[in-house]
Amino acid sequence: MKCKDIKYRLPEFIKKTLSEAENSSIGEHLTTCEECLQELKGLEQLYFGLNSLKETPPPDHYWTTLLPRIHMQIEEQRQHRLPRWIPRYAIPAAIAALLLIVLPRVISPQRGEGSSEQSTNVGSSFGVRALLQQMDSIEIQQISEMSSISPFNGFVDSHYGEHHFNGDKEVLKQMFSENKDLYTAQRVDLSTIGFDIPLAVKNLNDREINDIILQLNQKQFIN
Amino acid sequence: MALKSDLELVDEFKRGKVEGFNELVRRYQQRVYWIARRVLGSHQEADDAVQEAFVRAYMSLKTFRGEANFYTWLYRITTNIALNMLRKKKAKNFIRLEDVLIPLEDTANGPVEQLNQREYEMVLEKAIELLPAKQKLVFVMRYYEELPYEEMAKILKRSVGGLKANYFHALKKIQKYVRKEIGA
Repeated sequence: MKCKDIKYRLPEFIKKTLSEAENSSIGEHLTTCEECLQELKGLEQLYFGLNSLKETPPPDHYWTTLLPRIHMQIEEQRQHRLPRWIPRYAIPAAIAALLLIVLPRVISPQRGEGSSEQSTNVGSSFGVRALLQQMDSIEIQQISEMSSISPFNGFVDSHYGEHHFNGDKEVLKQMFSENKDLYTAQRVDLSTIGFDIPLAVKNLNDREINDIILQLNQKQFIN
Repeated sequence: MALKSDLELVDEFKRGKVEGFNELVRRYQQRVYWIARRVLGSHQEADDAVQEAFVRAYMSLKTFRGEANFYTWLYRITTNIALNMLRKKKAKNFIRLEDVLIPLEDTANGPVEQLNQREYEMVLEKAIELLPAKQKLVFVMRYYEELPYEEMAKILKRSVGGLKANYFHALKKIQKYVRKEIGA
């Protein structure tokens, strides 16, 4: 036997749990291998120390009180559990209902009217965060309020001073102002853009931006 | 009256008789307690783990099919709970070796002789506590529980050879720590 085969067996050799043949083989090896012999002596000393460790048992009454406490925990868990029929039936039913509402809109969105060769897919190329940072608080509020999961029916009110033309922003505004159903507002005719738009820059906080992004995501305007 | 087997008690429970479960608790509570105690190191934590283990067993007992023996199944639940608790404890209370060194007197003239027995035991206990979670479990199961490697392999779903090597390395780690602390 080689040393590396011997060493993993030494703990069992010490505990005398090996077969006679193995014991004999290891014993023979130890008579000729000083390294393994020292390894054995080190482990024997360790076992001597481990055997001297004392463990304080729990008090006697612990064993008689354990079962009642287990049953108390079981009862507590039962009270906090949902009725079995909820995860089994209600949740799958709710998911199925949601899919029936969402999927048709996802699979076959309608094209908006007036689309031209210059139409662009709003979602694919915009830095939405940068875009939103340039919109004023009233615009953002309106978009937030009107961008719900149900079809969007409204338009951005715009009567505050001059505007700086920004293609992306105008596209987005045009989309919100002209399209009653955001699911159809995927293509916008750029040539129709050009009305005065309010522009009061506000630093949006992350929560507001993420809120808008989430709503735009739901309408699949962002890839 | 002959003792009922574990499977008979499980069947009893499945037929609606909770006494089947109660008897299984009485039968194994001490063994479950001690495996948890030795892995976690404290009575309070062991108590939490034992209760959790039996509650989980109760909740799943109706689906227990008897493919493994009941004790192996219960043991696995207990070791999973204890391991998770130990990992959370270690993550929460990161222990650095430098923080747990026990100041020692001069040990130049024979380390063990210079220490009293209790100090040596404390070093050993700390060495065991510092073992990585899974390795500590293997050590506890082999050294304290004296479970055969084949049984351990079923519980932990590991090879016998791997477990033997792991146990050996656990002993070496304890030995190395003790030698580092007291030169023994």
